Amino acid sequence: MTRPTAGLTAGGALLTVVVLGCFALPLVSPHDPYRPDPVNALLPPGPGHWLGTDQLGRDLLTRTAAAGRTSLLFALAVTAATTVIGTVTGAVAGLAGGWPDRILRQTSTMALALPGLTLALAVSGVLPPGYTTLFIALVPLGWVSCASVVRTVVRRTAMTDYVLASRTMGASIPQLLRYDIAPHVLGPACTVAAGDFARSLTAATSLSFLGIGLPPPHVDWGGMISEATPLLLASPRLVVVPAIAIALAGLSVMLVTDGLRDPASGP
Amino acid sequence: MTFAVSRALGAAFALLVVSVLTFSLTSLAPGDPAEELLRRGGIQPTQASVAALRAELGLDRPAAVQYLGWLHGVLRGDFGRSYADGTPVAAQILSRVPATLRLAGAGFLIAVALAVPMAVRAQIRPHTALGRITRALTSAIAAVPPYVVGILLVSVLAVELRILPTGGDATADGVILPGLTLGVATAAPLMRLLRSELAAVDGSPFMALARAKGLTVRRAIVLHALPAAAPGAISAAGVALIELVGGAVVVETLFNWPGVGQLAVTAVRQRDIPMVQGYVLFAAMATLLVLVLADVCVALVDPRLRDKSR
Repeated sequence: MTRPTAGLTAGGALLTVVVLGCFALPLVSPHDPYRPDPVNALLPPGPGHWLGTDQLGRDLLTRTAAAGRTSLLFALAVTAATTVIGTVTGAVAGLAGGWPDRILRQTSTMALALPGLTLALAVSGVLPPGYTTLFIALVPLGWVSCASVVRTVVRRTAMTDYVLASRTMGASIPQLLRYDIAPHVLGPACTVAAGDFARSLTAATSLSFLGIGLPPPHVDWGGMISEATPLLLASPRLVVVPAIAIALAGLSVMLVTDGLRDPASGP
Repeated sequence: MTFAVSRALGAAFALLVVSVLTFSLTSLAPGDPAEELLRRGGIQPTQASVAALRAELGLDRPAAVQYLGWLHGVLRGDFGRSYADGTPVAAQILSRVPATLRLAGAGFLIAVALAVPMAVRAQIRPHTALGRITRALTSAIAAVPPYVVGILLVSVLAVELRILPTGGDATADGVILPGLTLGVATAAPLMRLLRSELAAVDGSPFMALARAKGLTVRRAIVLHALPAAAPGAISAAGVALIELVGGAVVVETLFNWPGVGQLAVTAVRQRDIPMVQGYVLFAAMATLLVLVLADVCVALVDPRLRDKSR
């Protein structure tokens, strides 16, 4: 492991702050992120409410943190699913070659034809809104990129001399995977997973922003922005705060990903 | 030529699979479409009326037969009728295409105008303060969803400075903010791709020769690295164009732009399945068209690829 670059350090620190903020703040805050309090609606930032309150009197800082918890956990769940499915299929295709490999390659070509939110829109157009639908909408295409990367690494590793040596010594397929191939897959898989995390975060909040993500009272950052957009002219704060939160989360994940992928680069 | 044909055949196969996926969306939907249609028409569904409508729509036939019938219609340009208002899906989508093309065109021009000079500049002088700031800024923008970029632009340019309208209509001024949003959001990843292309080319021996014969870094990069990076740049531009069409969904909704993306989002909200199907097929067609065109353009400018094709 080389020394972490400035980008990786900054990204890691920022990510820690964002994650800690989203998970710890709602626990220690005296305000409820969901319960309306119309008497205190649209208060400006002040001592009681550091970032003020929204149109229903909820503390903006607490609500942004709680929404962030939803967004981050959901993106993490999607990423876990895409990484597991992608790694397993990629390893099978890479080791077996032949028709499993051809199917995977065809699938990744096919995935190109449904870019961005297209498939997600299609799924949310027919299934009832909720976590499950959003999950089904985002997982199917996400795993393909992971599978392609893992397949390439597995294939390359499987052709090396030391894998041949292990096989000559009678190592079984699980042993090969565990001791000879997995160490090489780990790095690229982590990089792809970090990219997947950022993509899922963007996609899920985008769908919520479009009003076809999570149904109320669940709220993530996209949902908060969508609620507050009509008030953009009157109190831009309500839109800008969650927007900056998404920006910080996305930026920190990007910095960490870039730092992991290529230790020499980064701003 | 063979190359173009083989790419087109591959795309046609992909489209066929997408059409099967799209068609099977109907069976994913909970409930009976015939019942749903009657209810939307304001009629209380009875057993007899549902059965009659099912027969009329062909829903009582086997799925494979239904699929072939649907595909036959699609091939003749008949994508079915909208559940929401009974109008033909294809006509509705086509009527929205010009607005989306105008927005995507503006976004693409802005993205290229921003990304190419920035990438060249970053490659010429990677270690200056400006280069670092540019890179940090592009990383930041690339990490942020387009609608967030749009909202931040609106709040600065339209709300704080009041120099631009907030969009919402298809006037000449109205395209500036949505186009800028889409352009800035696309320029960042495009610039990153271009820069890695340029960096890869910069290491090749002919660049060392160009420097050795006395060209300045700037001239060597503009005259030799940029043309050599063209194939990669065209692929990157193709990907950017596809991302634009995807990003347009969100930006159109944000700025109330009357394009295909907005139509799709409305259809999803209303659970208008034929319209959603039409949109997915349409988006897949547009994407594959761009991919094939980009591949053909790359082969045209880079003879090495033509021989290695397939």
